[in-house]
Amino acid sequence: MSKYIGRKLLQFLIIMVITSVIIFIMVRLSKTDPLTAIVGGKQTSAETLEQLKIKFGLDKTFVQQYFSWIGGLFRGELGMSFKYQISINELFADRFPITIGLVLLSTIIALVIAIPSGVLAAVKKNRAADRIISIISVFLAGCPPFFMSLLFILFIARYLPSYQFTGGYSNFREYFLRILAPSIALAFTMIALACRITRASMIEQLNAQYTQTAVSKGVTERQLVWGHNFRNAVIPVLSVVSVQIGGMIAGSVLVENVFSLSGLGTLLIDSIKTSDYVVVQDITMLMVLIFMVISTLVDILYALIDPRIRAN
Amino acid sequence: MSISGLVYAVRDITLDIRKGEILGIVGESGCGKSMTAKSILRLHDEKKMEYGGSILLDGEKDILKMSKKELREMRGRDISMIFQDPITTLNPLKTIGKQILEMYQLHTDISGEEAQAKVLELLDLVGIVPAQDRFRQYPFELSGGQLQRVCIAMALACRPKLLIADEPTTALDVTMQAQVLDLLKRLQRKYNSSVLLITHNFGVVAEICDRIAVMYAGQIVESGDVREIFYHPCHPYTKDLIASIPKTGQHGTQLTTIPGMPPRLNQDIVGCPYAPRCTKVCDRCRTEAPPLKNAGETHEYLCFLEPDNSREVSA
Repeated sequence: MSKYIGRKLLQFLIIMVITSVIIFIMVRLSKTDPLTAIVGGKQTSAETLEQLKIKFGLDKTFVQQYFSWIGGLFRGELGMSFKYQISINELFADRFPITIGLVLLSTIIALVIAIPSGVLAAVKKNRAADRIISIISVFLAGCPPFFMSLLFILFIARYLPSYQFTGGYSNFREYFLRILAPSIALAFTMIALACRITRASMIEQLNAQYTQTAVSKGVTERQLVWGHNFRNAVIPVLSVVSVQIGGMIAGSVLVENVFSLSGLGTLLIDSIKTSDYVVVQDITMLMVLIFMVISTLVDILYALIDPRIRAN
Repeated sequence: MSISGLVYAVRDITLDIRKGEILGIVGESGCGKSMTAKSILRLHDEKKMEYGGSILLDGEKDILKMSKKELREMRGRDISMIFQDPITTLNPLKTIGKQILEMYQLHTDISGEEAQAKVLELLDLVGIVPAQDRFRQYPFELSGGQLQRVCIAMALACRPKLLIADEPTTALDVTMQAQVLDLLKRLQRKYNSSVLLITHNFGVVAEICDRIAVMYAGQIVESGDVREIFYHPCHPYTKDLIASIPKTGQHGTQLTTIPGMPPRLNQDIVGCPYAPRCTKVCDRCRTEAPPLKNAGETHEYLCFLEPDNSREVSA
């Protein structure tokens, strides 16, 4: 088991290093000169430009720039923003909780809704409950998150005018309220996917030979479904969810914009527009990191669930 | 492909299993053996299946009339079952110990420690040793033969009145088959349970059964004591089945087979279902259903042929 975890952590590190190189190169391939971003179109003397180049480390070679960026990340220093001319750590302080909260909360909402309804649909296969759940999930799967967000905003504006979902936050209650509505809007795609996979996977398990054995032993339906089948069915669900979290991180960029939330997503779009390279690199890196942490956790969870994976 | 309409997989079966006896049901694939076995525990999906008649436990309680709760309590405690492929029969994610333990949790009030002690005792009894270590192993860590022993231990945990064994040795290699049958017989004697053994292998029946029922196309075509059936088969199908048992020391000779296939069960059967394959077929067989005849006190068969006539043929 510890060997397995060790191997997964090593994979994690290697992937992070490779993506950091790719991200760095991709951002630097852009044609805009970072200096333009720094001066922001103002008239500047050649001398000042030279000084700015040194200040932001742009006088060094690409390789040196890469290593000073990565070295900074390891020390927890995210670098300087060209546009805001302040430390990116400061820039992230308020925004990071919004994005991570959005992703986590919508994952939780999605699983809490999708798993029981997927299981229900499987148990009631081809009956009314299954049909209704299937129709709803097909509909949800077809709705992009930004569209759901717009509908949601309209709904809130019409029926819950007192619910204020934009702006900053000063305590946990406010924070939670800010991310709640966008999290629900963001959760829909995952609800649909996770529900359908849970249903398919549960149906497979309900037809498995060991299910018949359990029935012949005299288990109740609840013991069968939750004590025997669910654990067997959950691995494909976890796989889909962990991949879908990547989609959710991307979706959060759109949802934040529609809800005018100041999270990393809105900052990312701003920074791309203004060629604020280091910020773009940092946010992309952070998103990859969140995705990789979740994938690695899911891999470890597989092994905890299935002894055969543990033994390999 | 789907078969629409009503399919009579099993027709007009009368079977009785006495206390402490091993009854073997023999027949080719698709003749309704497993259907019959699973019906006893009502394991079929009742949205797709209809049962008719009655299945009496202890000669009084009708399993087909039991409530869901009664059924659940009966399963595993009064009647339990072992299946063909031991590798897929157990839950892959639970230790074998816990899977046997579940029987006690479902059907008894004994404490966890007591139950665990009983499981270890059972594992010891079926030869899964050292029981202490095996208790914590998962199905994938055991071989097919070992898993079938685990299944036997699990099925017998609550000392059921009847154990249904659906082709318990078919998926095992030959040396394992003998050992598993031996174990089954030993435990059946020890606990004085009745066993319903389903198989397509006459050799298996000869080894451990007291009585035989031969099934064809959803009907029992012949039944009786094992010696009686073996030495004096009356139904042509039984004779053909016995003739097709490979004999040792017969190198170079071709194996005897029964040409043709059993009828499809969604087709209407007129007359005797075996008529198209029967070597002793007469005109009557094709139009009229054969009668049930006695060829001895416990020996019954479903054919127009007279017992004496057919006895002479088998000699």
